[in-house]
Amino acid sequence: MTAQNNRGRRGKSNEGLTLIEVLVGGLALSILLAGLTAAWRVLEYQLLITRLQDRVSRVVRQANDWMLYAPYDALPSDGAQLLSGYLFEPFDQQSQSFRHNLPYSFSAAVAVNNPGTSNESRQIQLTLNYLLPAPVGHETQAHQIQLSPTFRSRL
Amino acid sequence: MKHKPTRFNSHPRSVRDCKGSWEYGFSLPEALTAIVLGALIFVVSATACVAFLKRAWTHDAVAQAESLGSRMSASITSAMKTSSAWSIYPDKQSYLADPINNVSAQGNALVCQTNTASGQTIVVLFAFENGLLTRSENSVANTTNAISNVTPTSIYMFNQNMGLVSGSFQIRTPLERLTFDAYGTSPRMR
Repeated sequence: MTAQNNRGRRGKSNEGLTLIEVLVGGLALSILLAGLTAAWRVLEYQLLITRLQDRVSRVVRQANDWMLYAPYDALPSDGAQLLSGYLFEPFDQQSQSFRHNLPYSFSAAVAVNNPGTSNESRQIQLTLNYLLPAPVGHETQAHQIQLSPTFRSRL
Repeated sequence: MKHKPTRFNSHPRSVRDCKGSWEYGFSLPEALTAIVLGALIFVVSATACVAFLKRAWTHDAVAQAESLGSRMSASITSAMKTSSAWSIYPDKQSYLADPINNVSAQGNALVCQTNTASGQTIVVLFAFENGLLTRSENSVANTTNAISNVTPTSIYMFNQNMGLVSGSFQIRTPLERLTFDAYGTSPRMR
């Protein structure tokens, strides 16, 4: 076998990787890992938002129950804030207690008809004001849901 | 004289025929490096896998607690709004000892009695005891629903205000605390 053939056989594939190839490989791996991390974060965020939206539905249901069953004299006045709480109370390992995140509260818009009479009635519209985490960073976004008006009469 | 690294190869012919090619086999440092890298990848992937499973498990626990709490909450509202009579007691023992005289304005036991159209009477008891919130039907022994790791939101689980009965409780999970509020009134009070 000639020296030229030897060189040919020992060609490029047998020489190992150049510095550029290793750097390109590392860069490709880094991009892949960064993409996976971003995808993981989006997935986590979506799961959290889904859970919180379910919680918002439950809080609205509870408020509807309260509006339906509360005694007439316990109904809120115009502009009152009621039924407040937190949508997310994660456990904090450091303080060994639950943190209060993402507060919510209802505000009432009340119109009274025939006030002071036995025919008195109220039309109450509750508005839920709550916070949800923003997709990026640790910011929160304010949200609002207006419930259908409820009609209650003293009689 | 420069020392050459020891090469491992099972077939002596390949050493003769293919000097300098990849068929040479591995040197000891190459083999050791490969083993260390393999072990590192295994440890990292195993740790990530365990963390993922642990997280999935805790999320499952939260979802389960949320579902149980919602059902219990809906059950309290449903029992109240269909009841022909109801009472709150300081605890389950007070109810069992004297259901007539131990009635209280707030407490950890709520009893609702419902009469069906066919004349059948159903007594439902909601009782909180030692972190356990239970729903029993017709007999204390007949528990239809139970949730553990429960605490009342305020001092007592059940309160009443001018006929509006409320049940407020929290469920502790490893990840977070969930709060539930149930409201209901007997048709007689409306």
